[in-house]
Amino acid sequence: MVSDNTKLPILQTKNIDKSFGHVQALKNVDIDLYPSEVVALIGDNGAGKSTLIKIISGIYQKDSGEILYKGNKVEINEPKDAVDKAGISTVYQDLSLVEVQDVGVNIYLNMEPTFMGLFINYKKLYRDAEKLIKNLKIDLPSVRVNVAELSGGQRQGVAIARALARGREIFILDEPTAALGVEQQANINSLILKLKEDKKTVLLISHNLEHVFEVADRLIILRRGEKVGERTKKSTNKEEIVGLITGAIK
Amino acid sequence: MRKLFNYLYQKQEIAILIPFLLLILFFYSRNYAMLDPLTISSILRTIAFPALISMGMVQLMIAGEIDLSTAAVMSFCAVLSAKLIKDFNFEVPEAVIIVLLCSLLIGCVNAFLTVKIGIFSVIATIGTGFIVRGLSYSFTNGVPIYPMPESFAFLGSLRPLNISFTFFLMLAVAFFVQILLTSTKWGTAIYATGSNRQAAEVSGINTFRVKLICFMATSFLSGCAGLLTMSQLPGTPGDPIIGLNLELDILAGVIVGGVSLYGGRGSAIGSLIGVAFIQIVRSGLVIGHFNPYLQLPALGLLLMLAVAWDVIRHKKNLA
Repeated sequence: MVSDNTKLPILQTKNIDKSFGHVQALKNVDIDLYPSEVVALIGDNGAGKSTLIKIISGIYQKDSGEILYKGNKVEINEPKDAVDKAGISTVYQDLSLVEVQDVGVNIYLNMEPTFMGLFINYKKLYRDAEKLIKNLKIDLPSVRVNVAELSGGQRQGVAIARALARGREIFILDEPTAALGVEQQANINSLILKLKEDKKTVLLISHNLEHVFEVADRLIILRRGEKVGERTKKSTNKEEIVGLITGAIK
Repeated sequence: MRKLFNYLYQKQEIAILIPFLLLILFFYSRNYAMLDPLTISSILRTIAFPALISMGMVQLMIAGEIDLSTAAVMSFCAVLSAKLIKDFNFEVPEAVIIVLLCSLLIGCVNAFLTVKIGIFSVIATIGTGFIVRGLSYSFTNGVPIYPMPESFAFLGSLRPLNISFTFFLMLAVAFFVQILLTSTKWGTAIYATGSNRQAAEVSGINTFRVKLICFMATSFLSGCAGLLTMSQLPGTPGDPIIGLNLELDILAGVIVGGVSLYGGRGSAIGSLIGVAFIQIVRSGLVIGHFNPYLQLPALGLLLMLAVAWDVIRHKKNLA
């Protein structure tokens, strides 16, 4: 059932449990992510998708269970750990970009190329940013425009470029196509496929099954805090997935 | 035309030059003494102190915080140095070092209250301001401490171009801060912290450290201003009323100069022009034969106008 078992998973969760008071948000959740694949995490509201990615990205702490990066156990206690110890980059719905600064500065924020460690080398910064944006085929007027002037889809692209510039390997995208137009959705799809082509791992949360079936290789379905199914795209169809989400299929 | 308007709308530090020059012309038309070299050098000498402090304040406000204890710190540092030298027989350099360390400490306290405990910086710094201003009154029982040793007045006695040492020091600091803001990683970190703290953190910027350093820089420059004020006054008294109400000049100046109360925008040049603007209003009212008591109402009005402009611009940018 799981795709391509010959490769080593880049990220695994084992028996993740998480409760909020009396509500058990996650029960014994195991997921495996591999390089060069796009995995969609799907489920109804309250199924535990957000809780799971927040645990992986260090915003929440798990009650029990393990997270393994390339087979080694890692402790992720804060967002910084997710980034430093497991190369995880989470692109949040609100995108966390600095609106008053331009695209180039946003991409290289806090890792700007400098002259003698002192002055920012803006020429190199913009040249590198342009290369990156071009490579990702993100449609932007220029890397010198302020983020405040960009559309939702463009911002998404900038956020992903920023993560990529930091050498991250695992990209968690939370509802990347929410609030995007049709054309912008298509741009995000090609961006996701581009990441996969570059041997990155993408974990996608989406309500939009249409979108999931367009880009995902594998689907992991959560229901009431438990993993109720895992399917490769080729081995399933929308009816089955809807059944798993709603509990009609057990 | 529309483009020009939009440009001025976004680049407040340039737009402000227009009313600035008009205002000077207006006061000049009331009294030609406005542009007398003596008037100008006197204005420049006065500007030096608030402008020096505003160079810390501009960084702090871009980082999204504010400091209303500046003038109190200035007076506290002046009085403390006088007290240490006169009553505890410290040498001048020792006293200066102790006082400046105290100013850094006050900056740390402000940062902890604001960032770690979570008190709004407006309130936290009004609190520390009351405390240190109160301490300087209690150190002196309200009576200025004087006279101070001659060596203390050394820097203040320098008068390059008939202006003052402090003015040229301030220009150097302003130049330095402008470079910091526009061309260094520190600058982009400050703007990011003030504009979107989460984004800054995601990019690995330690925003507490950024704010801490900004608070410390502001207090440190306030302390320097206090010491320099003393070295410049005749007879150099350690007087607790040094810098009374000056925090408002600084705040109004920085905001008039285009720094946003919401953080994330502003420049050192703009703040410098803004502080000069405030002083032109103050001096102009006197020179232009207006009732000098109108200074504070005029200042309050200006502050409100500048903040209103900032709020409207912020709302428009969000829309």
